[in-house]
Amino acid sequence: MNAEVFVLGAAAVFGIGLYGLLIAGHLMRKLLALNLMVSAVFLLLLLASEPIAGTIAGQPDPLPQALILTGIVIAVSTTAFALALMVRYFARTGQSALDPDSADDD
Amino acid sequence: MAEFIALALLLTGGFFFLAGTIGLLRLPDVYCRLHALTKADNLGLMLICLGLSVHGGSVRTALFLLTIWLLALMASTVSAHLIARHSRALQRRQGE
Amino acid sequence: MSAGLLIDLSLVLMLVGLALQVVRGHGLFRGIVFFVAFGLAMALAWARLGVPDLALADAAIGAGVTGALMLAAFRRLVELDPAQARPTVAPHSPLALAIALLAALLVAVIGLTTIGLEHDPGRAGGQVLERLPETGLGNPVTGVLLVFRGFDTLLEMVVLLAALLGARIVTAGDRVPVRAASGEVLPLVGSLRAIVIPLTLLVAVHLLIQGADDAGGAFQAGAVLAAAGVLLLLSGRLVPSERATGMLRFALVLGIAAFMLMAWWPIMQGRGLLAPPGKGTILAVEAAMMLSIGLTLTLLFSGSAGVRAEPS
Repeated sequence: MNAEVFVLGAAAVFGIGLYGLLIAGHLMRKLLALNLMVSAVFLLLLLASEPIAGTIAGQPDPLPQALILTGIVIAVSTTAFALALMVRYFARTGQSALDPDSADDD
Repeated sequence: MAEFIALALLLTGGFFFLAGTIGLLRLPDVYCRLHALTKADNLGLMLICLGLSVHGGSVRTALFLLTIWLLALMASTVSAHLIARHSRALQRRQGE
Repeated sequence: MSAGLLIDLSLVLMLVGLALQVVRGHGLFRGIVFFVAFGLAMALAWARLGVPDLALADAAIGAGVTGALMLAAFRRLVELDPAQARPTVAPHSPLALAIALLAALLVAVIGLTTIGLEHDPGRAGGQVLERLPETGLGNPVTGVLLVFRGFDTLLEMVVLLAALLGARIVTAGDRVPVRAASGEVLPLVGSLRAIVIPLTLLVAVHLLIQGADDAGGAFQAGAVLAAAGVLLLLSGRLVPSERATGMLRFALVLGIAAFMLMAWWPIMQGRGLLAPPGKGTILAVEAAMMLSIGLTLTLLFSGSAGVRAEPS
């Protein structure tokens, strides 16, 4: 019963992240939105393996946990690299968006 | 009986957190908000840690929770000080 | 409406609400702060789902380290152009909304279908739990990470190092000033540091050792070490330097090297690649990994080639 609630929540967060990714001009906003999507997918990955209160010998399935842990570390590595690229790009060109027309402004 | 005490402590702690958050949202400036956050939230945290210690039942858990509360206290003290200091410096600069 | 359902609903509502706040306009700083809050809410969700290793990892790495890195990058942007800090209004786009809604719907359908599927009792997770005693560990996740799927973990360490190298290549020769501390001497921060840093080291080692049998592990411990590194950098005790000393480079690759040694040693002894080593070996390799991970994440935060200690 409760797993459905989390699935819907994960789907909502994924959609919100995708929306943020599409409408944002600033690269850092895109990164934030991307990270939201990543978190949502991880949640789904765990939910897909087993509902809450796992049933292999009474323990949650360890394999998706390890995969998600690896995924979290990869996500932080990618984000760190992307941030370095973004700062460099900004320092070099003064643009914070890839397409200058789509940069957010007041 | 112990469960009842734990529940009461947790609920009171939650109430203090609620009060702190309302203060964060409604109070006019940085310094007032800092008051709300550091005082109400830390008190709430203490009550929650107490409630969890009662619920947990072992001395080891209680000591862990006490350490967590002390660390959170230290962190929020220094953060509040730094925020207030920065805010003052900002105000001074804007006033010139 | 059971209490469990109420909790789960509130948690999910909190996640969705925080995600919305991240994505809305009103300034980059707000977005980052809400993202850190979202990461902490995710840690709560993991705890609720019964996976404490992931809760620790998401709190330390997903919320903590990622948040610190984003704030550091934001700081660099603002130093280059103060206008970056001003709030902006995100453009509305009905097309994007439609796409996002469709995507969310698709994901919901996929998710709801997969949680209803029959699970094969003989699947890999079950085999891991059965063969866990061979490794001498009590925590199956650590068993999977270090032994059963050790190859993935080794490559994960390499990815982390590659991210650092990539970031260095991209920023070397930059005019972006790396100025970590404000230069003022703040007595309060000094005493906080004196208390917190030793405790942080203790917690990191505790997480490492506990990770063998309970929740924890090298990655969480490494992230906690990185937190200590960030605090030292922010308070000026560690200063970014333009050169990486040999010792630093050694520490960076130590984790990968130790892991590879653990992987190859059984081959030399005649057993297969990555055959299960003893618990002591695993802990030693994890300690090396913790050091490397902590250092890598600290260097990613400082954005410099190395760090050196500044006598206080």
